[in-house]
Amino acid sequence: MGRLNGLSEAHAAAAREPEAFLRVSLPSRPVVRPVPGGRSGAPVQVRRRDDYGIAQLARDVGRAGGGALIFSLPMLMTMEMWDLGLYLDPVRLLVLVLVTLPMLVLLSRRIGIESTRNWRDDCLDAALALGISAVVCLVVLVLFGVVRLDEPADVLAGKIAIQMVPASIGALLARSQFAGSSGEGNESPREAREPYGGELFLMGIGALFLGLNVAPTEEMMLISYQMSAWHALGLLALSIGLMHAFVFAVGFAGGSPTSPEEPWWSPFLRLTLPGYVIALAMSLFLLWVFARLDGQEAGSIVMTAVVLAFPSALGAAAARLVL
Amino acid sequence: MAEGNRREAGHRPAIEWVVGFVSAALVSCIIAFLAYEALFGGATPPDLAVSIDRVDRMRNGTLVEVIVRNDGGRTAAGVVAQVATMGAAGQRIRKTIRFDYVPGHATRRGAFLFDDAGISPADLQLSIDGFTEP
Repeated sequence: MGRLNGLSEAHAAAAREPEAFLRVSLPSRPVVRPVPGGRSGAPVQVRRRDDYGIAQLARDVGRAGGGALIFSLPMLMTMEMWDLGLYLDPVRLLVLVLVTLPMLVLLSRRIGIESTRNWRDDCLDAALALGISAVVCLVVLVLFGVVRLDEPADVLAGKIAIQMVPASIGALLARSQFAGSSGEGNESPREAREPYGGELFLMGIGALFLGLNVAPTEEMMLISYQMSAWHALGLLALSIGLMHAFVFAVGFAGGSPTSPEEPWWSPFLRLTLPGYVIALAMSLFLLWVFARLDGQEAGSIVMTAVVLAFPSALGAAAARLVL
Repeated sequence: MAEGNRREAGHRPAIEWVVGFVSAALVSCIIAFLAYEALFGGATPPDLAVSIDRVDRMRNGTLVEVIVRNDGGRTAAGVVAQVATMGAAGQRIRKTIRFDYVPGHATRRGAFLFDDAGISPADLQLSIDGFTEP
């Protein structure tokens, strides 16, 4: 991580001094990298790996652990999540983790434990978030008496794997949540200009996160059983209406903003409706992972997806507030 | 002003409009489906039936896996499935299992366990005892 931090500083130095070559000192051998746009000049010495320090490492890991704990605590204290870890098909758990991993990498691209600048760093960042989350979930579940260390490995892995996904999102978000409040970092992620694809991606993360909070609960299924198709239509309309209100309230201040000159239907078509479809897709994915769709026909599946899409849509629309 | 609005909207990259129109089509399909269900679906009462899925000989008895199907439109809660058979000593054996929910037009699976290893599907009488509204 120290080396990664060094690279980040190198880029920062390059931004300050465009006519420079950077000499990045690695532990084994030095590497000289030309700065894009740079021509010549004195090399800029960047901190060595050991300059990074144990204190900084501990602070980054502590932030990630804190973020993981805060974001996953509601699920760590949900009974259905303990049970799902017991009986859920390992293939579904694997798919959940495999789908989450690239999302974490992309999320790290935007908000990470560190200010990473290349894909390898982002992959390491995502893996670190998953690892820290696994440890946090294990410790908490052991303290709750939910997990015993003498349990079979597959049971242990199931209980931890299902919990570490939301926790890892929290671990990655720790930087934006904690670093911002401590006055670190010159560039707030919220203020970064976001392309259209980035907006949709953030919506997906927001939908995944809020959907994960309620998808495993029995209440979510019970709500769909108690509803009629009329109720579902009303809930769908409310979800889209609230999403659109959030789109305007939050303003989507990134690269695909809404502007006062635009007609109302433009952000509705470009942001709100795709956001709702993303929320629906995330809902269906989570329902499949949690085996909530098994044995149901199309009508029930649509009803259940519309119910889960309500919190997911709010999560998607408020992603810029949450993330 | 209206012309300005149109000009602003038209400056958006084409991909944003394509994604928007595809999303609108998908949401319209879901609304149409729900509207059809609301108007013509008809929330019929639960129509429950239980049948044998498979019978497995276990080391200490027989495992009878059953499927409960709800052909009605409404969800049934607390569905109790019962099986009755004659034991090896001529005594009547009854066993029940309870399903928390069986949604409309959906199936749920469960299993009965018998100590007798010689149970055959022909010996079993399956029935639904009752249910409640969710």
